[in-house]
Amino acid sequence: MKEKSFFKSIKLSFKRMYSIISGTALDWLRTGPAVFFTFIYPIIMILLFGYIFGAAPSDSYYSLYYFNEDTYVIGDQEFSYNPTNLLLHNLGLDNESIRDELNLKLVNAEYNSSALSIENWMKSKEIPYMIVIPSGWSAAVNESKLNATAPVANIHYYFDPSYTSSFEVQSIVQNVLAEMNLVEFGIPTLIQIDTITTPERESLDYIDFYVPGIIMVTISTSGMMGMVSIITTERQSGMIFKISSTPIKKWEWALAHETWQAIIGIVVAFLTIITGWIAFGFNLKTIHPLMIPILIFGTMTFAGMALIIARFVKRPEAAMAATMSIVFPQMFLSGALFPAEMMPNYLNIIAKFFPLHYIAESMRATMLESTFHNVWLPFGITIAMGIGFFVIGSLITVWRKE
Amino acid sequence: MSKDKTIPNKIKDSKFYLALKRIGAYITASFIDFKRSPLTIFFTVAYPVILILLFGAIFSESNISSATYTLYYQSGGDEGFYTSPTEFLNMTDNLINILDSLKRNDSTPLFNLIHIPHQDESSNIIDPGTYLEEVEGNIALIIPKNFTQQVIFNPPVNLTIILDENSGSAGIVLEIVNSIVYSLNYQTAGYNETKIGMDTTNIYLEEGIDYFDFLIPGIIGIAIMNNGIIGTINRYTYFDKKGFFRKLSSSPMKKNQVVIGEATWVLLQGFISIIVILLIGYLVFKVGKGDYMWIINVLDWKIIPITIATVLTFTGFGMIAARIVKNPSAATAVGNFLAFPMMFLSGAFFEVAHIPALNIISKMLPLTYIINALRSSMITPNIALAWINIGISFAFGIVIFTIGILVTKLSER
Amino acid sequence: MVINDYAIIIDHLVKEYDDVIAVNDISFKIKKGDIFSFLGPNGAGKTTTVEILEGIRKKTSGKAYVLGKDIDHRKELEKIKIVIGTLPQEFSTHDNLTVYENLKFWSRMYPKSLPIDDLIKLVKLEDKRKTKYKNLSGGLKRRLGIAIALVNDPELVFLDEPTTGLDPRARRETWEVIENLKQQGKTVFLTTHFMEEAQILSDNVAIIHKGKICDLGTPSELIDKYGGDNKIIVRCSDQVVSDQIHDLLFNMGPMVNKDGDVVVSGKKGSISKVVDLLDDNKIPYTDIVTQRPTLEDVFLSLTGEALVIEKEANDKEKK
Repeated sequence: MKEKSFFKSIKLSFKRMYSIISGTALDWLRTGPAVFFTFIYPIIMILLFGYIFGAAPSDSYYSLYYFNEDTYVIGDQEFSYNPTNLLLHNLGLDNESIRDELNLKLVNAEYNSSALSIENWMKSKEIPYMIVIPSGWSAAVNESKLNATAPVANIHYYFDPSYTSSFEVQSIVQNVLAEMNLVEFGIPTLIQIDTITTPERESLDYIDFYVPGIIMVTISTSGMMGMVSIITTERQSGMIFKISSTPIKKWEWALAHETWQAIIGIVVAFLTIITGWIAFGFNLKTIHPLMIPILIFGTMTFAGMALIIARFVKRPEAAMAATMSIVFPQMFLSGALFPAEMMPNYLNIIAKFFPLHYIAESMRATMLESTFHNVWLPFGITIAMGIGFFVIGSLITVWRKE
Repeated sequence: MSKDKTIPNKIKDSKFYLALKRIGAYITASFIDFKRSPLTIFFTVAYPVILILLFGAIFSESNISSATYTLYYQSGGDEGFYTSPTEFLNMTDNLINILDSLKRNDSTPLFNLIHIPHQDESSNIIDPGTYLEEVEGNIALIIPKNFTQQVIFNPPVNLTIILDENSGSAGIVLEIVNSIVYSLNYQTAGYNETKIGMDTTNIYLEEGIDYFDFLIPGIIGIAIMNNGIIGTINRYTYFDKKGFFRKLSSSPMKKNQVVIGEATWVLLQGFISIIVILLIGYLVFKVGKGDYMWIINVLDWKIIPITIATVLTFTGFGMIAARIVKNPSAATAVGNFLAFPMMFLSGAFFEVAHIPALNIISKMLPLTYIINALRSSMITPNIALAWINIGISFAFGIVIFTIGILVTKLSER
Repeated sequence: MVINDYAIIIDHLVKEYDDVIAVNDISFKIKKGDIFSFLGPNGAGKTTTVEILEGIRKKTSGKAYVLGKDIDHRKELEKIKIVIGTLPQEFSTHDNLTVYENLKFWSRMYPKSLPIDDLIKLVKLEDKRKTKYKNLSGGLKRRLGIAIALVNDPELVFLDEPTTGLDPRARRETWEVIENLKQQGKTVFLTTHFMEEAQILSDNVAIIHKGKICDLGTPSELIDKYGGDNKIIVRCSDQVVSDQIHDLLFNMGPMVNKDGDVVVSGKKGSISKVVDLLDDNKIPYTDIVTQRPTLEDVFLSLTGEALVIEKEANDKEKK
């Protein structure tokens, strides 16, 4: 008899949870715009980040202005000397393949030296970087070939430090100059550098890291905000008190809502993967079955956090504000969008306080066989957080009025 | 007969005066509500602070220079060579020593060198590439066996670098190693210095501008944008749901006045945000460097018209979106959808001019011009550019705001 | 007293907040099968009491038994929830779900439930079966709320201000539904501030004011006890006649109401006496009627206050 009633009560639990899930789902799906924007958001994010950090670099080129003072005039035509011509050629001035290789596009600066100083001219035209080949440079280079004690023949590089690309352009030009040094002066190359990509990573692209990153970011943001919104709205409308007068138990209600968030999470994951695959050739082989429990426990973590926030912050607006104060820093610090290595140590330490950090780490570790053994610790933490936050959230949810 | 002698009847009864009075009442009510509206406080104050602390910390100069790069290396062993009876040369050791001894300006080491063993515990040969992945390192230097003798007798010799192409810091390390190897090459070939060089000039050296300054206009723009869009959508859909607008529509208050009241309110919040951002930025990132004058230098009266243009634009967006969404909980979804891509495509965090496709898109976004206007007024002063951008910003603002007013309905007729 | 005869037993119930006592030591019992009303103005403590009984608000002290079970025990409370139905004051359900879908939603919360279509018929929402909740008028929303309260065929139904905000016709239709419940043997606990509702529907009424029960009994008992005498109302067309009548009946303690009618208490003279007096003096009155005291008079008598808002609302409806 006891067994029969045990199964019966399980059945009733499922019935109640199914009702909450289907009611919430149907209500939400019929809101129209909300659904659209919830699902279009990850698609836009993957298209954006995938393009900017993945595809774009090969399409991009930096416009480097140049001012050649090292010219001579015959009649009304201007000519320049050989090393200068060679330099400009090596920088891709008249050679498309070099230009594509360096991602550099040279633009002749129409600069009149009598009017403004170079710095001021660049500031007025908002030019981020410019090289100036001083008059007499070619002569100095040729002099150096004959006379070992001749001074170094320098070109000038002017740059705007607020542009992050100025340093990249600087090193491109410096590399070209270094090459020229060896060639012009016949210096033998005794030591070379040969770069190879780490074996397994060869098959991976930026996009392969961004897809799980975007999935996790979307789930943590919309998942948490969605759940907080539902709970606070139901509380404000009074529906939650009617629910509390029915036989449904708190944990059933919480689990039902969590399941709904998990379902949305899976749809988001699916859409992101498909978009990444179609638009950027995301490598579907990197998908590992372990990602599914990571996703599920991840959403449980955020659902649990949402329950905890909604317990203490009753007003819908306030709850949303509290949620966003967690969600935004987490998004940037977790390493899902921007690589964690770019951040200073103390930020990395702060990142460890955000759940998304561990979820993102376990996701990333599953993608490569060689790093797979690193997955267990963050995965374990993810499971613990998922269960922990969820249980605490369900327990402390208050259904009674004061 | 009016007892108030200071304001003549004619003015008091005029429509304009009444309109002002109503707008004033709306703003006062909104201000009182502000104190009870955590979401607005969040977007006005907390959100910009988070952005500035986050991005300032990530990208500010002092922090990039405090990172120590981990460089793995493996050497096949080097017997060295006597270049003269008294001079022993071991290039492997030299190279490692050079790398090890590199220090930053503040004397912290640049590299953390870690040796990759040749065999593991079970005496299996370790493949450095696989090892690198297992320890989640991103760059390794492999020095061949008897490097010194090879260089002397059998050039050119290859140093192999295994790296994760997608890692930014690996790229930086590669650059450094490249230049070290380059000068090593030079020295070994018997030359003392390069003959062709490049000197660099920071055109803003005097002003002391860096990436952080580049960031400030972006954060200001984003903060006002978010508050404008999400705040407006929330308030409008909330008011709509509560029947507040319907009530207003039965009062003498005209729709235009409600909207102007709303926009003025967002404008005030915008100024609060700007003050907060500049203050926090100043205290956290500038005072520490001794740049006490920064906050004075950065203030420019043109911030006011730019903020007005910004508010017009994004309140307009908010109104249009509120008309579509109608539901407060969907508001944040829409807000994110509009705000996020604009954040990255408008050049707030990094420039996108060098990517053609994104460059085109960014030129269609109002936020791009707003941020450029702020930059040209506050950071890299350029009056002509500032006014051009202000003009375009206002054009956007007026158009979008007008559309917003037209589509906003106080009540369904 | 056998606990099981009673649907609800309340013993010295108290609900206290920091600065106010919402429910101030109330005790009463409700027999199974009765319609019981709590009558009182807004803020009297009606809703607070109901919410405590439904298990959605904590009490400060006292005891309460619902259908023989102690609400303090969690397991008992769980059993209570299966057999009660509630219509809270701020009731709301899924905006985008239809009438049918909403009923289905709530029905699944219970082990057993009534057929949805029967419920829809009961509250006469057949032609709104496929209408979304958000598109229903206030009155229809309330009706759906009642249907939802009945979804599990409960033994005891709590209806908190079920007809507030409804037009007179909708109100009467709701009363029909409530009376029907009694015929099915259900117990109904009703809170209201409408005198008429309490008077017409209830088997027993408790007058509640500022957290205390002033008295309880059947409507007739209360009226007999506190209602005072019948009133005789002489209607007239103008002020002059009104003054004449007033002077004529002066030793009956006449009063003039706001319509200019002269009102005297029935005790001090029967209607025939008054008619004779008026005819003898050839007073051109328009009409003469008697009015029985109502619960409103009871309330006024017990508390010294009128159910003010309610009276104005009622008058507005009559117009």
